[in-house]
This record gives sequence, C-alpha cells and structure tokens, in this order.
Amino acid sequence: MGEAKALAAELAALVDLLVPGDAAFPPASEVGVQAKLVDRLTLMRGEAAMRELAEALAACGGPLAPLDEAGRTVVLTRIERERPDDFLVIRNIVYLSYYESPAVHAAIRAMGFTYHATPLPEGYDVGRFDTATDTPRHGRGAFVPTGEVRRVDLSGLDFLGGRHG
Amino acid sequence: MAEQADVLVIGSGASGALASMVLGQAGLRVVCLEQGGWTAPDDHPHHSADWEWQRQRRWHPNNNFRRGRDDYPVESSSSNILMWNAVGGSTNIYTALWPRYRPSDFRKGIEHGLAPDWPITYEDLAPYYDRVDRIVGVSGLAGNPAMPPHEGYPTPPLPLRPVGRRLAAAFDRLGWHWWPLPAGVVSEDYDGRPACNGCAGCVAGCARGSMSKFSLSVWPKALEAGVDLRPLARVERLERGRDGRLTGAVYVDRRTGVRHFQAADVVILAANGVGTPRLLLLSDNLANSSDQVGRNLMHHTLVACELWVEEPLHSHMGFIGALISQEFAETDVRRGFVNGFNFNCATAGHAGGQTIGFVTPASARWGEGHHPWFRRHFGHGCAVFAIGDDLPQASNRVTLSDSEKDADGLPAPKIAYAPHENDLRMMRFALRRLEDIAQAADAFDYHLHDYMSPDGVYQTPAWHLLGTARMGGDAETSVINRWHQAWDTPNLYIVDGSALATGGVVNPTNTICALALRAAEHLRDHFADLRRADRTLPD
Repeated sequence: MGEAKALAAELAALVDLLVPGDAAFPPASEVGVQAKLVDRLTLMRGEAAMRELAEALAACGGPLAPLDEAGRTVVLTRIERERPDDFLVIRNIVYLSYYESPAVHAAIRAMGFTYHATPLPEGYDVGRFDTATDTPRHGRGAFVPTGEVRRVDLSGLDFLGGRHG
Repeated sequence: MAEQADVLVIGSGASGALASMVLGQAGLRVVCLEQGGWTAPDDHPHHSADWEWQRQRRWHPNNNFRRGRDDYPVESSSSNILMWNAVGGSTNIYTALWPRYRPSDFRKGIEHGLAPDWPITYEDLAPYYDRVDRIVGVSGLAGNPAMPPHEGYPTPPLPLRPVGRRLAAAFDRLGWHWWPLPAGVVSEDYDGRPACNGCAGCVAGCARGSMSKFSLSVWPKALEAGVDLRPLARVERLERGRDGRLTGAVYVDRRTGVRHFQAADVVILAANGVGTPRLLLLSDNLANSSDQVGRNLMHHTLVACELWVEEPLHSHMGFIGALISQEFAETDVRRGFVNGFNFNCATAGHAGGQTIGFVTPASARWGEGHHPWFRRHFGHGCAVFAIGDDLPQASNRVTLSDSEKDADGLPAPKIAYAPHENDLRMMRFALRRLEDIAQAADAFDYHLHDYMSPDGVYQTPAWHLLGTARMGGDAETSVINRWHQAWDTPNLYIVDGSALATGGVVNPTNTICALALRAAEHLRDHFADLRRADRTLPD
C-alpha cells in the first residue's frame, strides 16, 4: 500500500473508531471527518501535527489500520489514558466535525427533533410565554430590605477564627 | 494634537457605550477610544455549519485561547479570563442574563463585615435599573417575590419551554423559589431590533441583535448624538498635569502604528475589571493612594450540574437561559458560610457541543457506545449553574506581568485569584443542592462540575471581572466615590465592573449598566462644575 493510501486508511480507521456507524448514523469516515481532522489539527498544531499523530498512535501500539476492532480499541484506550490532552483534542475535533454533516443532521431529524444545520437564518419556533400556564403561582421567595439588614452571628463560623462578628 | 474633548471615554463596552450615549446626547464633545474593531453581525458564525467548531476557536471567549488581533494576553494560572475586545465589548459574546442585585448586596458591611458596604443603596440604583431595561431592551416577568417590586419589563418573558417547565417542577417539588429569567433579549420586536427567534446560537453572541449587543442597541444612539468613536485605538497611558488632574490619554492608532494624544477635561475609564486597573497601573500607579487598584478582584463562585431526563426537552432550541432561583440568595449562617448564591438554569447546546461536554466534562462515549449515548442524551439535557457572592480579598488582584506583553509592547495584566474558605464552603453546599435538583427532576444521568483542576486550583470561567477599583465611602479603602469619581484624581471616573464593591449573586452586566447610567447622568447634570473640579466630591 502506498504512503497516501496508508495515511487515508489510518485516518479513516481512527475516526471510525471514535464514531462508528450504526443502523441510522453513518460512520465518521463516510461523512468526511478525516479531512476535517487533518485540516483542524494542522491549524491548531502546525505542519507537524499529522506526523506527531502517527507517532502517538505508533507509541501506543498502532498503526490502527492493520489491526482488528479489538486491537484498535486497545491502542486508542492507551492514548486516552497516557496522553489525555492529545486525545481530547482529537476526539473533540472528530465529534464537532461529525455533527456538522448534513447526513448526520438527517439522522438527528429522524430521531424526531427539529434540527437545523445552522442557527440562522431560520431559528426555531419555540412559541411564546404562556401567561396562563407558565406564570409562577407558588408565592415563594423573599429578600431582606435595605433597612432590615442586620448583623448576623458569625460565632458558629469557626473558619473565621473569631476575627469577625 | 487632536481637538480637546469634553469627555474622553476609554472602552466601548456596555458601560462605555451608555456613558458615551448619555454625554453625547447632552451635546458634549465625547471621544471614545476602543482597542478593538467592529464585530459586525455577519462576522458571527451563526450561518455556518461549523459554528460550534468556530466557538472553540476564534469565537472562544478566552482571549488567551482565541488570540485575536484585537486581544491582549492575560497571565493567569487560576482564572480563565473571558472577554471580547471590540465595539460593544463583551456584549458581542455574552449571554445577557439580566437579573438585578438585591438590597442586601449593598450592605455586606453591616451584615457580616467580611465585605464593605457600598456608599449607595439598592434604592439609589433602582430607577436606573428601570431605565436601563428600556434602553437596552429586556424581557422578563414582573412580580418576583424574591426581589423588591419594580416596573414591568419592556417585553414579555421569553417562553419557558420544556426545559423551564421541567426544572420549575423540580423546584416546586423541593419547595424552592423559581422565576422566569430576566434577559437582555427582546421577546418582541423592540426599538428597531427583531424578537429572538430561538436560534440557540447564544454562546457565540447574537448576530440578529435580539440579544442586546451594544454595538447594535446603544452605539447607534451614541453615534447619532455625535460621539466620536475611534476603534482600533489602544490607550497606552493616562497623562496628568502639574495640578494632579488628568490632561488626556496617549493611544496607538492600530491601523497606522502612530501614537496620538487626546486631550480631555474629564476621562471615563470603562475598560473592564482587568483592563481598567491595568491602565491605571501603567499610568504611574494612578489613583492608587489607597493601594486598592487591582485588588479585591471578584469573579463569583461557580459550580454547575448538567442533567438529563427521559422526557425530550428539545434543549438545543431557544434562548440559552430558562429560569432563575433565588432560594439561597440571602445569608443564612446555619449553612456554614456568609453570603448566598443563585441558580441560573440553561439549555444544553446543539449536537456537537453536547457530545464534547456543553457545561461539564460529561461527554459522549466513543466507539460502539457513541450513538446509544447520543440517542439517550441529546435533546434531553439541561444545565443548572450555582453562582455566588465571593468575598473581596486584597490578595486577589490584577498586577502587571513581568514577562508577557501585548502586540504594542504594553505589559499584560497578571491575575492572582483564589477563593476564600467561605467561598469554598458555599460551593460545596451548592453542589449538594445541585444534586437535590437533579434528583427532584428525576434525572437518569447527571454530572457535577466544581471547576477545580486536578491539582486543586479553582479555574473558574471568569466572565465577571469585578471590584478592582471599587467605590466606597472613604479614600483609604476605596478608589472611587459614590459618583464613580476617583478620590485621588477629580476628573477621572471609573464606570465598569471594577467599580463594584461586592459581587452580588447574579450576572453583573445589568448592575454595571445601571451604575454607568447613574454616573454619566450625574456628570452630565453637573458638568460645568465637574469639568474643572480640583477635588473629589465629599461622600
């Protein structure tokens, strides 16, 4: 396998390990998360980012692509435990990138939610405040008026060391 | 030399915008210097599918992380200082929760003596709260029994939605107070701004201006009044004359790199609770005979809970705030601490934000468990923050960094902040109450967050930058008087969050605005005398 194809396979294996597909949701590699991972990791960490990622995977038992599912999980679990900051950066990029995909939005809508790819321009119809049903009737709540603020007894607050009161 | 200004305002955020507007509308020649540029509506990421990613990068609220061209670094190993440097300041990216301080917040000296009394009362400020609500455009429901009665809000409350109703039921079950959250967001078209359309992009600011982004709500009025707003103008220092009065400020035009001096009769500092003490310290320790400049930094105590229930809450929709609870807002020493706290109840974010941990580190599993986690949690979550009144401490302070500088070579501010034992006790108590809420809401999953690092350092997300040039009744323990006039420098006024003597139990922008409006109107009404004042008004 050439270097380019090996890198593509490695990135696909990584993102699919984090977010695999199921009956409704596509795997991360099918919606192009690996390209965004490269782009964003390089933006954050510079040109060496992909080499460092490959080295990190190798140091923990990788590369991933030749391994079976169980073997890949062992590698990523080691990275999560031994290099938690690196893991979080990669995981967060993968998650955020995945949920930008129109295919994933379709799967969320299939769960029964109204869901837009972007907050604007449409927004969400969340109705209006219903005075009849949403106005609190509990009558709870109080405040101390300005003229009724009094010294409190601090003698029970031992951490103050008797300096106040 | 530029033409002499009547008033020079430094900083164009919430307080600087209001002060500029009031004084400009009075016909005074007002110049406002702002180190940042404009953040236009189309700059916000709300029209991009990658908007949640952008929120983690160039729309991140931490300027150290964001490192935008208009930002300056902040050296800190504790607080995560959050701010936005642009016309309108941090209102470009805040969430505009708009509750008021309560009467006892102004009387902590009497109440326990671990914090000072303010030289003003709630009643002094109340009319300005009412007027700020109308200027800014606020939604809310009058009649909250946990607060003094006041005028109704200019627009009705935002909808309660399933998140609010679910949490209201939990508070009812606990027998605790709750109320619809006042918000600096208009629920109906108001003053040329469109009603909130529930887009839920609030964490990246409001591109529509439904939330009061001051560059869209207040600045148009200030500019119409003739205020000379100069973006990309970073002030290096304030200059004093032989008589001790300020003569003006030296600033860098960041477009050209050229330095200018702007002369003024009166200078108003509105550069936030970090920027203002930084500038005073950079100006030969100006206004600091009390040694209080930079001290008494307050952020509020903060702990949080993210919880999920079986009922679909559709919590990726609508304004981020839902309810407020002031059940624990007053001091009750039987709890083991002084001061109180408030619950802010919020939504849970869009899909990406929910999976990486929207409020707490609770995040979606990776691997085979990812989609089952997502199906169970997405749209079923909400968050509750407990925000409390931290004690002002002299050791919590802003100084100047020895090592870090901004792009123009000015020393960066350096932050030291550690909570008092009283604050820690409050946070531990609040965490137990958050657990009560999660259980009362029948949450199937919840996660508490205390913002402590693994080595025990409290690393609060510090939006609230308060107390570092506080007002008081004397020149020995405070920096400014009841009218925000510096004790040491009679033609210097400080109107941002650094003026606050205590932090209260709620988000402070509303109070900062009311104070700025009050200070600006007093200056306006007495300008003929105050422009030439050679001594500070007695208390």
